[in-house]
Amino acid sequence: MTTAQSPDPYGLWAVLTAYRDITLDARGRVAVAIECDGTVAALQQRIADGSLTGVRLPALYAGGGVIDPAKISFCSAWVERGQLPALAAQVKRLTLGMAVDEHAATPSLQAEHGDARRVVGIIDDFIAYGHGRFSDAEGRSRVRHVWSQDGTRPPSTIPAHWSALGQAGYGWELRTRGLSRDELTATYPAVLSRATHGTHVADLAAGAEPDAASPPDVVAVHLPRRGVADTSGSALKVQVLDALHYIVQRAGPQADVVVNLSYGTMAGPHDGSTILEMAIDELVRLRAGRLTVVLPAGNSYEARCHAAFRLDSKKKRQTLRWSVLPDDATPSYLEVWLPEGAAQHLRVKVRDPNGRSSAACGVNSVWPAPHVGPAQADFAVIFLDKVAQAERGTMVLIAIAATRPGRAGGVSAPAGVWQVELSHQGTADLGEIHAWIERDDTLRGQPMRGRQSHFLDEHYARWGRRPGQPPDNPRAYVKRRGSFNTIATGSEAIVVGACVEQDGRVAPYSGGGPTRGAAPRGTTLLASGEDSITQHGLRAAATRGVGMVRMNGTSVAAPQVTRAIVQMLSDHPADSPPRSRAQLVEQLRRHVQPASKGKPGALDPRLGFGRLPPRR
Amino acid sequence: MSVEMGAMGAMGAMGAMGAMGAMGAGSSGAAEPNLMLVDALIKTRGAEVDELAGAVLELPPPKKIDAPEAMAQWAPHIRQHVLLFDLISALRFQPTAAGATLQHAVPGEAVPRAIVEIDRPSPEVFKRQVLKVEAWAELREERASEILSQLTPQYAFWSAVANLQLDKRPKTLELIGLALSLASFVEMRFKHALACARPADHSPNIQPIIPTPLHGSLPSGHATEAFMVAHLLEQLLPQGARHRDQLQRLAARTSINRTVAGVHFPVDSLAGQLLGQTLGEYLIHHCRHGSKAGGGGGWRSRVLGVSDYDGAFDFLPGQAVKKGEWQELPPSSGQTDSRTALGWLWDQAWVEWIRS
Repeated sequence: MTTAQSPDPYGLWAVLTAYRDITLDARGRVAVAIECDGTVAALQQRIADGSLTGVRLPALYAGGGVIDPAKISFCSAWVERGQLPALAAQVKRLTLGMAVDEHAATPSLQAEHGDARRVVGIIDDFIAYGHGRFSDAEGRSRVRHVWSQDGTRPPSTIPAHWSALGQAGYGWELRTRGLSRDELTATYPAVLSRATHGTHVADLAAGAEPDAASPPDVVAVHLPRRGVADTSGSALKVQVLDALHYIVQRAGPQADVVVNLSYGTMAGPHDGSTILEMAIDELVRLRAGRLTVVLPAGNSYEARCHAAFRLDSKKKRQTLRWSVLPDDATPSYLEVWLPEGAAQHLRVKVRDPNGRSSAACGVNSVWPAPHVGPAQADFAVIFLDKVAQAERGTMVLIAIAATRPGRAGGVSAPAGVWQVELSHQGTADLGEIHAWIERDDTLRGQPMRGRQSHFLDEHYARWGRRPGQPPDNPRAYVKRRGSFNTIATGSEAIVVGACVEQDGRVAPYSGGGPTRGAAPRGTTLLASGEDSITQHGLRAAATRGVGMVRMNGTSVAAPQVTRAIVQMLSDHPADSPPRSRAQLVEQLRRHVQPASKGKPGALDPRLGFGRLPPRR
Repeated sequence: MSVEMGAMGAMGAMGAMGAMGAMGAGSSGAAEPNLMLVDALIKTRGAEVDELAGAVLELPPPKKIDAPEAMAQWAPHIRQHVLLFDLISALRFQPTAAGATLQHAVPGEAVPRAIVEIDRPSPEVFKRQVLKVEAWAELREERASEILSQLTPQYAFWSAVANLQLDKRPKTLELIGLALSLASFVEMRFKHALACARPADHSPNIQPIIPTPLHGSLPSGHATEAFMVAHLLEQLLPQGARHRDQLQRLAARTSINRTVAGVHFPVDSLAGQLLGQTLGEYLIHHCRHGSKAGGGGGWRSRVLGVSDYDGAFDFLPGQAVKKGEWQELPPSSGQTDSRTALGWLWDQAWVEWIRS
């Protein structure tokens, strides 16, 4: 990867740690998200004519369907590790993701799509596609297609209904046409949690009584369980990108598609230039109004995972204290994002809880040196001028190994307070420096693996007088403002924060900008994430029967906006659907109550332009 | 002796004694002795035994002095007294300049065999270990139920791993109880000699979630007992080797939970693991040595010196125990039957696992 102009620092960490935290496929390949130097079709051509070997694109990017690979530049691929440098040299940039085993069978290129005019796409964990809330008046499921992205066939009692998805090259597809609800529920996993995030979200976005007037079709994608178990950013971007393409293909060329992706991470450039965000923007523009992507603002506003500070002639040093938890089975990552021109003035030094220090690293250096004791590194400082995570700016990656040793023993890092010292070698005003700790928690229903680390800052006011929220202390480097879903800073996404229904206040956890990018600078609008002052969350469908469960967060706020957009599309005569994000936002504005503070029409980076009225 | 035992039963680490107490209670359905019962027995005998006939029953011939088989005649808690006496009689505890040693005295030999030597960590080590206890405190909410459930010996957890079904394996229960008692005597002696302060003595920020025990910090009694029982079960169970991984992980988790609770440093668990593993091997050796089959191999003696401690040390799952030096006893001279009271209990417990 060293030949690439913008290497992925996570790739260097993978090399330093002998790929022990990267999920490879059965053939030892990695999965990557790619921005091509040209079009995807041109990249396909280079693979076809043999000038690029060891690289394989999912058939989703082969064309013949709704999306023309000659008109897009973002895709995913499986790559043999030895071929990564060759591939990196021939594309603009690539970042590592998680690999899922490819099917041995030849991919089928046959396109198949529904004929519905409105389709809701849900990308999440298990979505109970046989649930009565997704049933039409004839008792058939409105969830037309389900793609389970796991490498192994879903553990259903009737496995025959799940067929290898040739169009993707991995995962398993269930086509619900012709199957009764009883037959469908028989294809569920034999052991299924009473409630899943995906079912709850899907109900809020597209659930309806069977007699509802023209409810939309649904295309569901179940993210791989292994990726859901590792919440850090690198894990799912490849599968999410593939899922978007799949949903658009299956919905068909004439459908208006609204995709709900209630997922997010915390560390990144926050300027809209990650590969996934730009790929979403590209797809939305390509579909010219027929695709909307709805994302949550994130729940990390009080997670103490964002820092912002300035270094100049007076303040020449900033030490970030970073609390890394014991018994964390996954690595912890910190990304420090520098303004342009700041890199050559900075040194970064990391000290572990036992007092062991890295070297003071300047730009374009990596500590420890890659050739020293590979696989023994328990932490690293990777300070590169340009990185594949963003189009502009410099990121310093500080990676810390898991604090819980693996089953077979091996390297683990000490838990406790780590210190990251940034020192300014010159006198210039370097501008605002941001640091984000990457998400590393454990999702509901998953075995405990990740544990969220956070900053410590004596000046940060944690509690304050509730239900209000203390403002950010100017003396604290830990800032609530700017704690925002990493994949939600693109230009085209609709980003939803959460509010509390009773008083209309923004929920304390609901993420907010300003982001580092140009407009849009944060949340688009709010929706209810809490409908009770005594219980958390909102009620929506459990996986079976008439059971209801409560879940909260911006994850449950987003699907209500998804639902509202679908409703708007239905309300409009076929000739005047919104054809751009600006038009869509303009129409949405008519449906919302203005933000509880700020001027009417103002776009607050945390509150957006208002809040969706509560569901009744 | 039994009064002392009762007093020890009050100590958390000596919970094993509590189990022995329960074993001692009559389980035959007879009423507890009381004045009415005594009166009834006097009246019954007075009415029914009307002649001093001198009826004498035939007893089996007396066993030879100190016969192991006589153990079968005694109540379980009496057997514990006998066996603990024997085990402790052979031990020599010797303070040194830096710590203390535990040795096995061989009758007729001037030089005892080494078992364990544990030095006291420097104040500097403990000072730095405070940070580790603070870091682990983050997990208190998650581990609280485990911490409370593990205040007493971890029978429920051992049973969960190895399905011990101790109601039908009373001698296995006795053997575990014996191991816990021996561990307790030895660890308390070390704790007294090393006299290490607890985390809460070092910092007002620790604020343990359970009462800090009224004995020294190093070695950790929970770690000693957990690793000793893990080794005992591994050796006793027919498929013990297959249980090894989970028993060891359980012992490590139990030890770490005490750090999460705020009553132990990671180095306490390190010393406890070393002591528990070694005492486990030592006990098994004596069990096997005195059993019908004889033999028993030996044990590995281990040393935890001042230089083995590091303030930066953290006790994590999978922590390896030091290899140690092989120790074995001279073969029993001339005696064809070297069976002991301890060997008898081992044989009895062994059979419980073969029968099932």
